[in-house]
Amino acid sequence: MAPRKDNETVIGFLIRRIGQALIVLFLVTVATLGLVHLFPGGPVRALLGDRATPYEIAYYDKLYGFNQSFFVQYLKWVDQLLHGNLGYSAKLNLNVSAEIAQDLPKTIVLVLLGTVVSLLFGIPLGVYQAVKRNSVADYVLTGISFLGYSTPTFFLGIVLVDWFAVDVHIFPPFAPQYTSVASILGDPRALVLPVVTYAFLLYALWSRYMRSSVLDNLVQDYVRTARAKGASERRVIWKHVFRNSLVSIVTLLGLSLPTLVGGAILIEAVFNYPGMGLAFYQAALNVDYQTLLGFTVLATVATILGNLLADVGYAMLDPRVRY
Amino acid sequence: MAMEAQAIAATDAELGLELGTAPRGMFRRAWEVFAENKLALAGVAFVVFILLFCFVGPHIYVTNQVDTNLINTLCPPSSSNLLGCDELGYDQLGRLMVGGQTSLEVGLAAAVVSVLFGTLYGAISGFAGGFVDSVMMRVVDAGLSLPSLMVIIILSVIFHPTPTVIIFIIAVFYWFGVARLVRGETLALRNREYVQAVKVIGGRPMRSVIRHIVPNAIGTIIVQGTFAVADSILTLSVLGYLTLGVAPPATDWGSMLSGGLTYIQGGNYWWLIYPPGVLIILTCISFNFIGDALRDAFETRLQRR
Amino acid sequence: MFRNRRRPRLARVAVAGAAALLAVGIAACSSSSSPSSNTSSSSTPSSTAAAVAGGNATVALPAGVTLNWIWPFIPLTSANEYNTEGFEEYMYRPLYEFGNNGDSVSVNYPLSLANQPTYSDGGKTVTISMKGWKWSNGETVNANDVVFWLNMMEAEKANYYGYTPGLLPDNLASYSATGPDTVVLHLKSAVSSIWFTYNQLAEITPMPEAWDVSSASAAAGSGGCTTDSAKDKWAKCDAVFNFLTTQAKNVKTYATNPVWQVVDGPWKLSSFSTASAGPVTSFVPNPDYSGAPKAKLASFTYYAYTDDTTEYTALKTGQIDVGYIPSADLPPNSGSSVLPSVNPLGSGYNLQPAYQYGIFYMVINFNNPTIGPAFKQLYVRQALQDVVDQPGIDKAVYRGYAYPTSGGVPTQPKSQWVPSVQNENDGQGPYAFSVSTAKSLLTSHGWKEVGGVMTCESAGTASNECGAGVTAGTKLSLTMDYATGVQAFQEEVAVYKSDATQAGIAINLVPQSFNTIIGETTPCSPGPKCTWDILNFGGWNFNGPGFEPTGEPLFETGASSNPGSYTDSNEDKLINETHTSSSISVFDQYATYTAQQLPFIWLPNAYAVQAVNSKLANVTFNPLFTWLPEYWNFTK
Repeated sequence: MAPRKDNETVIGFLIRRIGQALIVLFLVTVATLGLVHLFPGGPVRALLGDRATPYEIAYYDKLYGFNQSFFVQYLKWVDQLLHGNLGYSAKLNLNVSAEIAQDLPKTIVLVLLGTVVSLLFGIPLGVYQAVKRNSVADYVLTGISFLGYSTPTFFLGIVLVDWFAVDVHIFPPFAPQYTSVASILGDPRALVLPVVTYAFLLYALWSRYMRSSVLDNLVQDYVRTARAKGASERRVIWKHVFRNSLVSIVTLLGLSLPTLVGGAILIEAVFNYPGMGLAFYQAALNVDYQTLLGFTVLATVATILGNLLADVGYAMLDPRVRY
Repeated sequence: MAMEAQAIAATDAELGLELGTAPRGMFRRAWEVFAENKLALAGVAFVVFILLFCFVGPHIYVTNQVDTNLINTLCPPSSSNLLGCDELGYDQLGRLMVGGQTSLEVGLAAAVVSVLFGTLYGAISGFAGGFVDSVMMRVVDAGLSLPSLMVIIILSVIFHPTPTVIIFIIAVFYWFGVARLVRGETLALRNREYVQAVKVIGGRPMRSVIRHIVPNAIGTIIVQGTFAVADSILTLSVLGYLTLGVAPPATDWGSMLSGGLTYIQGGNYWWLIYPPGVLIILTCISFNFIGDALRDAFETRLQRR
Repeated sequence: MFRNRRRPRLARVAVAGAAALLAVGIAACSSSSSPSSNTSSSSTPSSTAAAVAGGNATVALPAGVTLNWIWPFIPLTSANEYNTEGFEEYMYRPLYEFGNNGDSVSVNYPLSLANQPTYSDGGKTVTISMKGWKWSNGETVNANDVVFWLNMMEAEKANYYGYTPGLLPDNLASYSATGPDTVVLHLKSAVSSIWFTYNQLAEITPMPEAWDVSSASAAAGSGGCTTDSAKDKWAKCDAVFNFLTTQAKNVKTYATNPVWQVVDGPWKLSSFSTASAGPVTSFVPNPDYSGAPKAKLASFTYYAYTDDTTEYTALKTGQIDVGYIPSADLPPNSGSSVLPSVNPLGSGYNLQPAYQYGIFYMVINFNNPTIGPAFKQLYVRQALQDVVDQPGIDKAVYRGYAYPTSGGVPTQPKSQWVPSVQNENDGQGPYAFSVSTAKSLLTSHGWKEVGGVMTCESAGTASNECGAGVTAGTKLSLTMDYATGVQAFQEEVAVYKSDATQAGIAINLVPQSFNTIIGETTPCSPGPKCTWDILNFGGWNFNGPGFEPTGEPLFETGASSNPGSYTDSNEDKLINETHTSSSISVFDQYATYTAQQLPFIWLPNAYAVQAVNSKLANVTFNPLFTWLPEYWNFTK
């Protein structure tokens, strides 16, 4: 994250950021392609399985261009990318863009809902904790949010399924099994357990940050000034402190955009909800390099966008930073 | 030389920082704040307990953790097996101790490696500034672009996951965050008056880094390190769940948990599931409490400046 | 097809690409026929209950499986038994069908598109006469459809998964349609009728003229592949191949593309998606199916799952009619029956065992520079086999739902191929589990335990010395690369390591992803790069494209799925004899020798326990993966 320098124009800012973004994209994709080539036997052997005769291996090496140098392969892939083609996964018999179109909406639903739920609880409780610092409530809430930090997601998910779906049939044992977003959202009962599991970890994040951010702000000069001027405590907190504390949350929100690409893999595995995370895991196990590269690009773009959004939000919310 | 040293000492004194005693005074104040935090103290107590449990325990409660014992598979808790047996006949309580050794070792080592490397990288980058800083941070950005789990999975699939390799794999994803934070601290600190003053007087840059920047950033570094331990233990458990963990007969809490979870619907094998899960949670939460209290402690000190 | 460990407990697992399975004659039968039982020896109860027409049966796919290829001419990248027997064959029947709605592993002429082939000219000429069944677009399944397939194989060898250099179509001197319903093949050399039918003709799936096109909505046959030849280097077939491949790559249109709607099997595709969870594929009956029986269900639907636990939860909550119980969730099997004594799903489901017609093993590297010479000694292999506690692992790891592999021939279901030697020692074969035997084998050949690891002390070729090429000081310390991903597998290797250690064999376990190990399975010549010791990643199922349990893809010198480079001239000779002779005693010699020689180290073979809705009758789990849902029906 690099806020705008003084006397830099908006255009200049954008150019600088785009330049940085391209460098990052380059580094990440080279690294991914390099990693793929570290698999013993190469990607073709993994693709064809152990039945492949040398005849077939040679044929496919040529077909997919694996017999060319790393440099040439990378350039070919870049060329393909610039033509808008994210690649074709032979293992899945799907275009990578079709894979993404199929999996991304589902992950977005899960991550968005989980984020919203965790924010709804995290922000107010974080403020409350800061105001009532070191009280019993503060300790208890701290304990709960730390529980969120410390519980393995898959453990929580499976245990919840076992208690609330199998032993007692309150919720279904899986996330919604539909493919369209509308149908998924139309089955809220099935969304409860996965969203709760996902939100539990995030809640910890928001409430801790909110708490420390509010605490930081409470000792600032402008708060003392506002109090001296006679503003009520509530006004001080909600009008001044809260707004400034939101800055850190906005930053974090922006930075968490990449979790849309592969962050929710454990929830997806436990609740039979195949999204981007599981797709990536399968691609890694299968050495499905086209998918790996495509997802990597997507994740990087998401990060860059996320950083940008975070900066913009930061600028809009923090009165000290003005463009 | 002596004159230079005297001049520097003078500047430091004016600013309230004593050259020789700065670190010690800082730690003493931090400790005071830390000790106020009951949760953190509880965390320390638990960490001590778990270290004893894992490393001293096997000498007291001796079990065979190498040979499988197919007659005893899944035995329920009894007087000879306090927490029952797992699916290959190993005593579960003994296995928790041995598994804990791996989890703790990997967690601590990964944290140390990532924090050391990240600190050096971040400090150098921040202090150098300019083009060097830009390039170095682009690499960090690249690393932070990928969701950490993705990187870890790819690396675990390529390289054999022995404990040493896992340490480095986890450290690889963690050092990016540390580097960025330390670089931020460095940037903030190098603009401070006393560092500027050193420059003006003509002191060497490395001196500034070592004498002023690192000690003042050390709060952040320690805090990050503590959180890193908790995160590394969790990551190791995730790797175990994805069956990318350590090879038998070695084990860790995550692999034990993952193995136990396959039996969750086949009968009441609670001793396979809850003990490793609870230990992971308690250990991580303890380190998190400690880290949080440390952060409060160091930040308070900073705020008083 | 090759069988990987990822989903071992499922009837539908395992991909054994057995392109060239040698068939061995059955002496008990007449020279030209092999028993094909069409009568359903179904073990489902309630087949006497009143049948109800209609209904939608929901079927669980094994965890992690996605169907993704519809065209029977399937490349290696997509070849697995789900795509072939579990998907394509419902719609596009192969020329000859194998297996039945029971546990037969023989050819099934009533369900085939052609009558039994006749072999003449001493086994050098094969005549196939088609039955005249119909495609759904009115075409007849005729001789041209067979020639179309054979031409396509000639044109695009590398793109058909079943191709092995030297075998079909390379072993054909010529072939042609001599009449509307007759195809004659002239072979380059005489073959055994059984082998050729089971392993070569089995690879053929007739294709309709409607597919002989190189662009959409072109006239049927305009592609010209059926009449193409080597003269133009099969250019026309290449064009048709490209067109059909493009269609096959467009998975979204599988259920709507007119190309794929031309079917000759009992089912048609009604919906298709590549999602990895939820309902993914639905079939409805094909009213123009010429064979029998006709489908009684209104439809059936596949459901996909991301892992075993979620599939089992679906079973427990009654969401699917046909599924499997992961072995971790089965009650321990006392051993008297193959099924659990208590049904964990209650009375709503009937349980059935589902065997896979295959073998499981780990591969040792005969070309390893340091330990290869030791592996070449039979007594060393014997010791390695003697420390595999197959009965113990079956009981502990697989809860009793597994049986030993004892040689190169699958022992379940019982068949005439199994040599008596494989049934010894309660099914363990010639080498039963015994740590003491392993130890004494080694010590009597000049090995001594040094620091817990057997080390060769007396190098040499005498009968009490280590053996040719084994240098003094060689330690039996072996690294085993095994495939991660399956909990039971991880437990199995842990047990093996523990038992081997007691005999002085040190095993260092290295977990790798399945595909990483596949990368290592290229047979390597002796040298510094050939350093793996043991690979443990799966087994082999004799379920397509060939169905006879012979050793050509596995044990012959230079075979593509012989990663350890096992080579033995007698084995090669015996394998080749089964190519040309239909005598059971010839096959028996090959099978017995293989079981005794241990080219691989055999491992336990798990079977799945399937659960079927008690209201759904006539569901069976054929070991060859031949699923015939047209036999299924709901009951009152």
